[in-house]
Amino acid sequence: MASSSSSLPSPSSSSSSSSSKKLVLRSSDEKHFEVDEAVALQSEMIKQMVEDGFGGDVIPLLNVSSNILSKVIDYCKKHVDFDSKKKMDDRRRWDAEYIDVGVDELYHLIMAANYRNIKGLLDLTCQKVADTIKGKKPKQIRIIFNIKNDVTPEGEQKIRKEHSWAFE
Amino acid sequence: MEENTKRAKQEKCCAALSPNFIPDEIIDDILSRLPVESLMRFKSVCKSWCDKIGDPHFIRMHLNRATREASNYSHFFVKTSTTLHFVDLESFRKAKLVLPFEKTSIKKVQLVDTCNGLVCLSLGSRLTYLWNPATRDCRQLPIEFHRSGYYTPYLGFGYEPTSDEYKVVRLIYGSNYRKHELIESNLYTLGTNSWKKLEIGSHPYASGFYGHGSWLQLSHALGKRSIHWIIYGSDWTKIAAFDLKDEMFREVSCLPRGMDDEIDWGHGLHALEGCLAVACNRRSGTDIWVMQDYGSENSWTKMFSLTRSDFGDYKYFCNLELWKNSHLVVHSEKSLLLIDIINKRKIGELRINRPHSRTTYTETLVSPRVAGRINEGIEVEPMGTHNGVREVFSEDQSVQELELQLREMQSDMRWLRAMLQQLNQQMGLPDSFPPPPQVRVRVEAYVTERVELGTQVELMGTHNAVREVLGKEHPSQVMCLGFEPYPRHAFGTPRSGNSTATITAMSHSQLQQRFQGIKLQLQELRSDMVWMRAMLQQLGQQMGLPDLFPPPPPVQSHELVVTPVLGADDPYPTPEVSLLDSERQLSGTASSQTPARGNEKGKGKNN
Repeated sequence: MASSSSSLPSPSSSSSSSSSKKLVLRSSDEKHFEVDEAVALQSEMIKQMVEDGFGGDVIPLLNVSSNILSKVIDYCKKHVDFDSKKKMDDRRRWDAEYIDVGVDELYHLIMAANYRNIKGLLDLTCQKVADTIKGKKPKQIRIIFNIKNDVTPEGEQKIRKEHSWAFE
Repeated sequence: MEENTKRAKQEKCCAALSPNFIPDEIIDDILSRLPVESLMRFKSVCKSWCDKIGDPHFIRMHLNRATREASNYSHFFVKTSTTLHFVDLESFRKAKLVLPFEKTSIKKVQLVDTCNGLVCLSLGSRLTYLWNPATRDCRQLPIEFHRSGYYTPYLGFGYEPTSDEYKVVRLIYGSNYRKHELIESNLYTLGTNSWKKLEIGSHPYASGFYGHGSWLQLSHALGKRSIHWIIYGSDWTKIAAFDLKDEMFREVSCLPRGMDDEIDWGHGLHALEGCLAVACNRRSGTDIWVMQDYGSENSWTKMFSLTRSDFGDYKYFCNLELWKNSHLVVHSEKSLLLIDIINKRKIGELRINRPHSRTTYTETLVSPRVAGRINEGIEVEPMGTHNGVREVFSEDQSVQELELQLREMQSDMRWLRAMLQQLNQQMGLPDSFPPPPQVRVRVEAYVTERVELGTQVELMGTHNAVREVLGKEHPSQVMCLGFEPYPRHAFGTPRSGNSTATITAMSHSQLQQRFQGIKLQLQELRSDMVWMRAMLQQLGQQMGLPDLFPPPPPVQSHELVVTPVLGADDPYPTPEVSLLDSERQLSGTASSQTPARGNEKGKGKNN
């Protein structure tokens, strides 16, 4: 991670001290993260902001807390490296380790990836949820996604009957 | 202690992702990654998931993910004389598949091909089936021709993306063994569930077909929409294709020397990195040739050459499938072998005796029925049970509320005008009041967008308005299908097989326009009202009268049942409001200039 301090590093001084351009991101709990532009641009949202000329200021990420943001930045940094090397096996191994997180963190990663529009991370997180839920029972799914059961017992019976093999 | 860990484990496996809201598109994304079996089970999670999983757009999303890479299938079917096997290539294991029809000897069943998770089976010489083994949905195609005697049908099955249609082409060869003669050919379209005749004259090499066609995942535009055959003549071997879009046969390429001579065990058609590939099976081994430039005979290149003796002591060595652009499934006299063609290494072996036919397979939700697919002609789910439509309608509700207010205002207005006129006349005054102040522009856009009755409507998904409204954010909810450019009709696919109904609905933008229009009319009316009240007050005061008019009659919502009358001159007439009796009387007095009753009523109330 480039920096993770609550004091605001000046974007101008950091860009002069380093060879590559830096961007400063601010998490919802007011922590500042200085990252290489290439890393931040993994996010389509930030890319858009930079193209629109907001790159010089601190980029506020209102929905993302600092611990999630640092995890997201980890991902982006690693994938900038991977993009230049193209080692699929390494990438897969790293991704698998990276995504081995608790449900709560997974949720926040999905939301951050979605909000910041980071396609690779969104793919990774959604796939993780899919892998987690594919063997589960409808009852468990309702708990996981916080869904109220509005299927009548008769309706449920009908679905079970039609697709009995899927419930075995 | 043990209890605790157990509970903790349980909590972990079922912990809620979050009490917070997860956007719909993420739910769609996650579900589109699930195997069909899980999805069938999750239909009972809640109604919206059930609808979503049956929704054509979700089915397409799931399909697109399943077939994203041209050769990412990981299963295939192998049929022997006794069994239909399901082979998982990753683990190189087999399982037995149960046929969708009972009491049928597997011997008679032919495995034609698969496409997008649908399997085409042929039984005897007449019956053809489309079967989705993952959803266990099977459909028998209609038998529309009655030909006596024995004949052999050769079939091809594939998908045509522009019209979103699955089609089966059938070539029927006569029973004369000495002469291999094509006697008829037909084409079946799933959307219309009907066969039509193809002109035999359009087959240049009519007598060259000796088997079922192959649906291949090619990247070339023409190859993508065609079913391919290897056809044999007396001194040539060619690749022919049936173009599912133009519905005709064409020649793709001749097989050059080297691919055509000394072939002992025939050719196999495959796709290698999106290119058409042919496996040439000789006693000594198998060569794989690739036509790098689709349709160009000069572009055939030999890519791989495998020698039988390199892999063990096999008498027979014939290719079956090409997998992941780097693996070959071959069958020997007693087993299937999975071979890494780049490193020339045998990876696995599976005991399966004498395969008759095989086909690659990717499981999908695609239905062999018209229902659940987007089609012209369309039977529709009854309104109100449908998500997309319901959502549109819920917005319509608020418009209706506004409309109610509008009617109320209009009723008030009429009453007020009648009162004013009456007063004016009674007092013998000239019409001396200035007109009410103008309200800004009146929006008529929604009126000008009306269309002629019977206007052709685009199918869903191609209609801008709809896609704009629902497609972007809720790709799964566009199921209500096409909308007419101006409101009130949407087509949909039915949930139940044959119910026919019409959905009345509007697209979002149209609702917005109507909303705006009503808002402005309301403003206008309010302005009228204020003016009229002021006038009345002024009049009353001038005359030294007490406030003797009764309050305006109430308007009730149940009186506002709006019935669009289709077929009238105006295709979308303004809904009429039935007025209360008292109001009718009042408006009657206004026009017929008989003030007495209105006045009486006023007085009565006042007393």
